[in-house]
Amino acid sequence: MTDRPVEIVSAPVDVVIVEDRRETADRLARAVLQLAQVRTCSIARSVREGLFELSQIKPRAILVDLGLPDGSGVEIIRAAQAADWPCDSLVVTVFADEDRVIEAIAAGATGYILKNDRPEEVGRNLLTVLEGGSPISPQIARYLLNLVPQPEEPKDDGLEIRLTAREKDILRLIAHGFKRQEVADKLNITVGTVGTHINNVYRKLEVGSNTQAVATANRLGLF
Amino acid sequence: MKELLSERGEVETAPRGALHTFALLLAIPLFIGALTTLIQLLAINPYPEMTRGERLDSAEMCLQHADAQEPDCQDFTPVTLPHVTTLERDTTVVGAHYRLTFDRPASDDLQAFVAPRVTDHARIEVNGIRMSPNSEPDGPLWHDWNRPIYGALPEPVLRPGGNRIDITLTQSDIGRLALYPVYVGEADAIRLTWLSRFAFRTGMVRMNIGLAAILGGAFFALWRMNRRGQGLGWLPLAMAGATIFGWQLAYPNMTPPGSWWRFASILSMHGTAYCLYMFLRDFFQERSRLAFIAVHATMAVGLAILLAGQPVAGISATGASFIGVAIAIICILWILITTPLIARADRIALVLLFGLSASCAVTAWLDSFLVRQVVRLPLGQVAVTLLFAGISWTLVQWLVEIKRQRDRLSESLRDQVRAKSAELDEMYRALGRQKEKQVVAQERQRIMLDLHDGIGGQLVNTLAYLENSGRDDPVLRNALEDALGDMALMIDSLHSDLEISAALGMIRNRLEPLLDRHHARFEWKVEGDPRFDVPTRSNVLGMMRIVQEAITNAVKHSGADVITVQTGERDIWITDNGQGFDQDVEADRHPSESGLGLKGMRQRSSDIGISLEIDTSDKGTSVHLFW
Repeated sequence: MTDRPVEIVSAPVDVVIVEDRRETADRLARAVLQLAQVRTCSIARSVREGLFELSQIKPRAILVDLGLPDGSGVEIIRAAQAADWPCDSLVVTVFADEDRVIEAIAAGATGYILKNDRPEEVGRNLLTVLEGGSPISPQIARYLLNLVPQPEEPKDDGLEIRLTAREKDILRLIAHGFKRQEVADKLNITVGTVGTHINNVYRKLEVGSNTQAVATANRLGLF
Repeated sequence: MKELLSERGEVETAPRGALHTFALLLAIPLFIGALTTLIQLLAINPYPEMTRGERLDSAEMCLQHADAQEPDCQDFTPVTLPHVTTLERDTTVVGAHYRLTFDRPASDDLQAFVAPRVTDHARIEVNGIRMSPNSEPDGPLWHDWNRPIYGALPEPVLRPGGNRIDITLTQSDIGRLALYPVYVGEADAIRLTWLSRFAFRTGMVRMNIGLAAILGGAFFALWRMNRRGQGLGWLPLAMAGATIFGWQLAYPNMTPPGSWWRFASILSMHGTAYCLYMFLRDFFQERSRLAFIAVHATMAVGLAILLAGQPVAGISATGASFIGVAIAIICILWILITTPLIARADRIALVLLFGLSASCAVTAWLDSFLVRQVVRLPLGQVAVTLLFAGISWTLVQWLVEIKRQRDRLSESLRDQVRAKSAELDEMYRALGRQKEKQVVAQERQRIMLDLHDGIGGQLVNTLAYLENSGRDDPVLRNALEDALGDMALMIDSLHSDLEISAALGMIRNRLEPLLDRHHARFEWKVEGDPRFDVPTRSNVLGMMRIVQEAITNAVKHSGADVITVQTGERDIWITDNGQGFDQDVEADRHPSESGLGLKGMRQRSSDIGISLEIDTSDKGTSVHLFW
């Protein structure tokens, strides 16, 4: 999800980071504050503090670690989801593994941040999500492909999507590690077309982003 | 019963077509007639000579008339026994007197006589001495027609030389007088003859009454238990009829007075035949309207003849009334022959039993109602016994069949229960295994996630500290990054669906930041869908570790700026454009200095059973995994 061209968000925004490990939190805060669009960045170290900051600051985005001393960050993500102002929540994870991302997305998160990513990447990912982008990773591509019913073993849980051959090709290449540009080169199409195809796949799940797609899958009881 | 028998596959289809039916209807009387003839032929001589006695079959006879005074016999006529006198309705004859003579035997043993068969009442005198009981001249008429008469002849009765037996026959309502050969001889032999004849005639009739009563009760109980079908309700009625006319035959001297009783007993014979027909009709689900109408019509005609009391075609009204019974018997046999519900063996047995019974009944009828005596041995009592046997056979066969079916049903139910239980057991076991697997998987996941949150977070935090504090120690940083990388690998392998291309894709995603930092890039040539022969999780994880190690080595130590990852059907190549390394030196390096090191990569590849080739020069290094 790091390879999407990023447009500049004009209005300055407030960001809250909920992370109990001090050094990690500081590093993320520095990465976030590097962005010109970010006005303030406060740090909370527990669920209680996070909820308090959320209600006080009313941030545009909140970065949440799930394993907090007094509970799970999922609670904060839910609160942000229910907020009456637009607030994107991003799960802060070490590995961006499917379990963590899906758990957060089920709660309403709209993206993820790798704790150990380079500061520029952290900033870029945050911006992508703020702009309503549809990031994708090999893990998520693989997951989407698994939703396509196999002719020899029909899924009986009702959840399935129909993909065109081209869409399947794109997802398969992404799952096999190819970057957006490489996918475009291999298939002789533009990067923009690749993005369009991915968006089409998301639309087939009747959602606007891959993260919500996974959330839908989750609601339908796939996990 | 249809369903029961059809399962045996022995159902025979009933003959169809008018010609067939006609032939069959003709064949049945012929069959009965043939059996009757056969029986009579076998009974060549029912009154044979005796070794220890004398058969007296010639006599002098004279008839007594009502207006004549006794003794009236002046002119005796010589006759041969058996001798029958048929009495017309308006006859004046009231009795027949027979005089038999015999020489006194030389033996000193006690002598005796037996009159095996007389009709109707016999008064017997030997040398003028009355020998028969119940024969007082002014007493009520005592019926002797149903049993032999025995009498001992003690010494004082007998005279030296010629002896004389006077037998006077009288009758009340039978319409004939008949005397059969009389035996005189040694008392024990005569008595044996008497006993055996008594058993065969009177005894069997009395046995039949007992049987009718018992079977009637049993059938009644059977009907109560199974009222829905099979026409079992007709059987107790038939048995009741048999009991009534059986009583008349067994105890003619112990019947209610009056002619209505005789009428009732005749009627009960008709009723019994009718009930049997109705029973078999319902039991074998026979639906022929023709037979049904024929039986009912002839029964009605018979009843009318009986009530009218006029002889038909030279046969007495009573005898002629049996036309309905005859038709019922034919229809019964017809049912037995044509019903598809009997197996072949049972059909033969039943047709024979009922056929024999019918022909025995025919002998009784011929003997009773035919003026000319053509029957040597009437077997009415045998007819009834055979009939009971036939009915019992039918029912026993039915019950056996039901039991067989029930056994088979319960056997199949037992089998089903057994199979289902086994299935259930297997399901439980599978469920157990599944649950165990699930628990193991969940536990593994939990442990991994705990590591992820705990150690992963800690490692990241330490790396952040190194960066935040500005005290960057490359060795420490490398070690922490390697540890993080290995953890990422393990977590990815948890979700891997054992597809090598996808696993490589995840590795790239993980290592991209590392390459960025070292200003290197991937040349990604993952094509096709390489597969392991044994694609287990640990094999895939092992492969991922080797690949990750190879890439990490290339990035960190070779100074390469392009790392190419390529796959084939059964190959993975990782090549770089770096400066290569001295394999001997590298191999000796301590693993902690460089992740797994070459040694570890070789060890791991042999562990998971794939080959590893490393080719290095100053133009670059190529790591080739193949299997």
